[in-house]
Amino acid sequence: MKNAMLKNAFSEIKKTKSRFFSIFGIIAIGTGFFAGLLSSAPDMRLSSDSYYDKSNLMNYRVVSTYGFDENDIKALDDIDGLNVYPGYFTDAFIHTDGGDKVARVYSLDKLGENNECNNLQIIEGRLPENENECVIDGGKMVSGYGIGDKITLTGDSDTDINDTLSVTEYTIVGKFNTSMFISDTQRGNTTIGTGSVSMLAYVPAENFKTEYYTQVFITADELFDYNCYADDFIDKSDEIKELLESVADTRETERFDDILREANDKIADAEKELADKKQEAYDKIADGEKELEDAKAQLDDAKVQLADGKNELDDAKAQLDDSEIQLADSKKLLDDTAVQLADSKKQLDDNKKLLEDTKLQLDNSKKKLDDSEKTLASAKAELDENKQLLDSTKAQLDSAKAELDKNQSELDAARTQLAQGIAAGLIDEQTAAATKAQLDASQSQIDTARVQYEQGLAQYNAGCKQYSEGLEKYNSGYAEYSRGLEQYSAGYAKYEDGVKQLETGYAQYNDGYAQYEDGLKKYEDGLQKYEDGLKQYNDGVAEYEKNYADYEKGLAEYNDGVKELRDSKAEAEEKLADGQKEIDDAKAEINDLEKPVWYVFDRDDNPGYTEYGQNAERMKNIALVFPVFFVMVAALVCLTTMTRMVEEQRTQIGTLKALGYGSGSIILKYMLYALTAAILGALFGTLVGLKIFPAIIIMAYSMMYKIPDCILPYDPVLICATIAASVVLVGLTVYFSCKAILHEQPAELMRPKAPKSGKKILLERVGFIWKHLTFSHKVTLRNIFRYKRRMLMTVIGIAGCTALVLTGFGVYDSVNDILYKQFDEISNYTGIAAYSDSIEEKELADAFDILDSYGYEAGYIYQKQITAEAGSNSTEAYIFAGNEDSDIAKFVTVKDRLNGEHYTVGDDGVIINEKLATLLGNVKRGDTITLVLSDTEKVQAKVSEICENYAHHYIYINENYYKQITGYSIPYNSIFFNSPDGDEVDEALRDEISEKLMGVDGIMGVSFKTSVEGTFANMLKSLTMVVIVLIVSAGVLAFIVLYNLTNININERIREIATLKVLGFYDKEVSMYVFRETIILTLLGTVTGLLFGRFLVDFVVRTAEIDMVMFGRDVHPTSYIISVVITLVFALIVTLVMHRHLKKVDMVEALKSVE
Amino acid sequence: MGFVTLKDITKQYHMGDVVINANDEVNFEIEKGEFAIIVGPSGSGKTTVLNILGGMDTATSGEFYVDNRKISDFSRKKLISYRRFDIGFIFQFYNLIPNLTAKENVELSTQSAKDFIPAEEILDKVGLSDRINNFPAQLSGGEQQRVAIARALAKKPKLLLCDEPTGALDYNTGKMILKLLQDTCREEKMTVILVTHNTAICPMADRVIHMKSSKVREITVNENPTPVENIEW
Repeated sequence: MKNAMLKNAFSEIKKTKSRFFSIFGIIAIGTGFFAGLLSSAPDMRLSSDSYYDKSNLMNYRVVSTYGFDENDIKALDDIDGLNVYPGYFTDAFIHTDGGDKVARVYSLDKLGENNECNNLQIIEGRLPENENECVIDGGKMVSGYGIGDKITLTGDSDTDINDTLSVTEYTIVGKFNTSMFISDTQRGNTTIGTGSVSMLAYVPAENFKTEYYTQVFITADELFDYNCYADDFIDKSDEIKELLESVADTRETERFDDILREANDKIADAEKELADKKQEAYDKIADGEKELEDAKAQLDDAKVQLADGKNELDDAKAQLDDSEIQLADSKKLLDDTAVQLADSKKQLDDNKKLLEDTKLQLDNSKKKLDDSEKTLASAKAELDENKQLLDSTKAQLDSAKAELDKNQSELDAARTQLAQGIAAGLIDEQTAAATKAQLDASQSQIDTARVQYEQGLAQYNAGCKQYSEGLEKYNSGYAEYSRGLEQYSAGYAKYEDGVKQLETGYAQYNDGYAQYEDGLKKYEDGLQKYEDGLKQYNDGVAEYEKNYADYEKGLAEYNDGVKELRDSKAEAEEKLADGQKEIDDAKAEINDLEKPVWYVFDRDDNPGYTEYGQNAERMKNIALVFPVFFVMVAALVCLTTMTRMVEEQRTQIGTLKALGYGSGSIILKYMLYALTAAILGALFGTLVGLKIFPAIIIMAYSMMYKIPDCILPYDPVLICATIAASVVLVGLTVYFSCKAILHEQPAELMRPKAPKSGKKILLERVGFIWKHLTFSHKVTLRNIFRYKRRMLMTVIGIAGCTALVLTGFGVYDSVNDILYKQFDEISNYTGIAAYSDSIEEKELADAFDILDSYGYEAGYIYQKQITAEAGSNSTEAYIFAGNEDSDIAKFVTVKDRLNGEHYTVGDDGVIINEKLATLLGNVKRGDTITLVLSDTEKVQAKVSEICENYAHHYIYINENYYKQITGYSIPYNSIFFNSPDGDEVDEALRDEISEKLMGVDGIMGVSFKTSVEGTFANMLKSLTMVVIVLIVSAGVLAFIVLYNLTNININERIREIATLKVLGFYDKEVSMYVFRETIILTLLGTVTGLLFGRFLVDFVVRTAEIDMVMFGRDVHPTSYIISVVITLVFALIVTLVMHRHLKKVDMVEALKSVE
Repeated sequence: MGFVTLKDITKQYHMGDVVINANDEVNFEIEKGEFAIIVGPSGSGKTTVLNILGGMDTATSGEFYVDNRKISDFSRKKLISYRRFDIGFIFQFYNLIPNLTAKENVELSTQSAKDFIPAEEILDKVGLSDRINNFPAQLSGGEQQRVAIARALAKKPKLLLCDEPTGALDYNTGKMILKLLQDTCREEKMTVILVTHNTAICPMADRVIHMKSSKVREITVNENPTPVENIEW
């Protein structure tokens, strides 16, 4: 029998796959979500614990006000089960674009090797291998440094980093993550700079010059066995902490004694030294005095000598003046003589010149005479020559005359012969003619010669005449010459007399001149002597003056010496007094000396460590809320599905009953059917969900917390429990589905179930509305109220969907609102310039001037990260102190979140922000909180108001109240400033202002709000992931619910739908007939969901908040709209799917019979 | 060709590898205004013929015409219109919408019709004027069937198709329903096709189509149909 039932059940599964899978699906999703979200928190803890253990994260960090010596370390090391890792750290400034930031520098124990404790995860590059290499953290707080960059560490105004570190400039060789600082945005507090650390660096331990270890990391073996966020761990850890604190107490005392002893020894030494020095100083002063006295005596002698010298010089001067006058006289005489001599010389020279002229004339005459003589001689010779020539010519002429005559006679003879010949006729005529011609020619020749002869005779006669005249002239010239020669001889005699006279004059002149030159020489000698005397005198004067100057210098030196001695005496006395005072101070200090204080920190003090645990806890809360929905919906879906199934099979059940099967075995079939789906679904769901959801959550948180591990174990207990839960849940739904039917009689069951009768609904009674409704709307409304259970389920399902989507967006809004509200509404300032305590008044004025030149409004604010405590709660917060309440109001809006009332930071207390008040244990107006200003300074402050704030925590305090509670004035450390054009300062201007401000000495950093805002926005991104998860799961939820319910709706009313089809309803009309209900219910569900979602948002926001921030509490209207739209889109998708389904409904099959 | 003509209508169902013929080359004609009865034992394929006639099912092969329109070629959409305007269907189990009153059930079919008889009028005609605001569950079987008839008639169909309309009713009520149908046929010149396994009522029809094993065995035409009051079974 059982067998048959089993078979029946499994064949049923085969037949109704879609129904089976709908149960399987909803259970898988429900359980997957449930188990997944539920294990997110444990998985987060596991992952982080694994990371901590792997990196050997310290359990305790001990620091001491005096550092640790070897005895301290030994005392700690002696405790069983503890591993002690002494090391060094210091805080230093590094330069960044945003001004100077504080870096915490830790020691790397061995070059190139990871520290044993808190070992680093190198994410880029490598570990330092040289003394000038370092690694920095890979966080986002300081940007702009990369591998290969140089980094320079500097101290603040009153500490020299070189006292601590031997190397201050490092090359970055790597970036790391460390389990000590998992938070991306927190690096802890410091006492320098702005009070918060921005960067971590590890440098080789050898570089630390500090005498003592500055910190000790301790791990405890037994703590490794626990999960670090477990209560066991915390208890155990606290136990060990107490143990460490007891060691601390002992060592504090012992160390203090050592220090006291050492200090007293030192003082004794110092006192001795002081006494020695005193003696020495007095000796020195005595010596000095004696020296001065000697000098004085010498100076007096010199003075006397100088007076004598002066007298001598004056005498010499008188003598010199006399000589000068004499010399002038001599000079005058000599000058006169010289004039006379010059005159004589001139006369002589004139005479000489005259004589020379005469001589010249004489010489000329002589020359002329000689020339005449020569001319005369040559004329005589010429004349003689001419006489001779004339004579020869007479002879020639005579011979020529004879020849001529002879020729003429010959010719005449010839002519006579001829004439005879002719006449004789002996001679023929022709020969006669020729001879005649010859005779004529000869006649002509003779005629010519005759003429020539006559000419020559005439010439000769003329030549004779000329000769006579020349001879006459010569004779007269010769007479003249003889006269001239006589004159010349007389002149020459006269000239020679003149020469003789001149020579005598010259001799006289030369004698005079020689005398003059002697006189001149004598004068010059006298002058030389005078000048020598004068020079000697001048030298004497110079020497005197030099000596006098020397004397005066000596005197001044002496006076200085006297003064110096007096000063050094005073100084020595002062120094000695100082020395004495120092010793006294040191003595006083020893009396005041405080015991060393050890601070034992555990992991809770690591930024982000506790937060991560709290986040896991919060995750757990959320994990409990959301799956509840899914479980509810799953239960509802199962219930409807099973009810439908049972109803469909009522005839079968009736038959079985009629056949004698008991209720148990009948129900078994349905149980088997549903539970198979449930178990398989739950198994599948948990196996998948346990991997997916925690991974998403851990991934989302890893954006804020650097936890590299992601451990997602299968927790068998959780899986079994989940399966068991779904079995119970589904079992119950099956039981409730079957219960009614099993009570019916078999006969009743065999008959078709009486269809649910139609009923008039309430609305029909309101005639005027009902009448105005269209026919189809009436039908729809009636149908809605016909299936109340399904109506409820649809509404709940859709409401859940809308609520989830709204939660998603609401959380997103809340988070995004922080940015807007915090940075636009609350923080009104544009930027901050932080300055060091050593800044000078003038530099501050410069900074204000720079800001003023841009039209910026500026004011002093003291901002520092401190710890606020109330009762057992403590939280880090910023103290925000201003000189007047108006100044605070300039930069921040201090107001109530709900009614917007602005508060004034008054003299009667501090104003703290809402979240801080909550974290401190719901502090109320008028309560007192403790402000831990430094390790040694705790003050009480009264809370006067509580104000709105989202990011970080602030304690606003005014000048008067600050002074009242601390006893001193606010030690301002920053200038806040406001841009005249609101917050949006463009980057170029920001850089410009930053640069100018950073140029002022003492300004350590300039930051603009916009950049802070950016970092913050980044940090909040992780929540977007959660939002997406919510929206996606909401979608899945909506889809399942709508699909299932619509499906059932259709199946249940298949006859009705078939009838409509037969009646000729078009596909669209048929679909609308069904979907109109769905749409109305969806809308109804959506509205309900919005209301419910609003509460859910509030809950989730409150649980999901991290300590550092308060999320916004408002949901934007757009989010409501988007939620509605998304829900409707999901509904539409289902509708479209179902529309296809409806089209396929087979009328014939549906109407065939009544089952 | 008659007002309704079926030519070689064959309907096959595939059950795995087996092919079942629900109708095997069914041929018949019905004239306008006739009261036709398709009669035959269970499984003889009479309801299949009716479904095909009503446009609720399509034949595997063959043609059929109504009022000279070849319905067998109609598309899905056209078939819906055909059902909507030309066909009135009456079922054995009435198939009233349980959530609507008698009047509303009638209105359901008339709201989209081109030419129709107002709900009150037609309900009055079927004798239910005092029950028009009752829900089906508040009505007896005969009353429900009368509402169904009213629903079918209200839209003035060309064909009134009835699938065992009296199958779930007692003798008298059944008779009353049949009379209503016959009267409607006579008075309104409505073409009525009725499917039944009850051969006893055959004399009331103008034409009787006998079916057996998916085939038409015989078609008899009564020249003088007997009024239903005179038939006993």
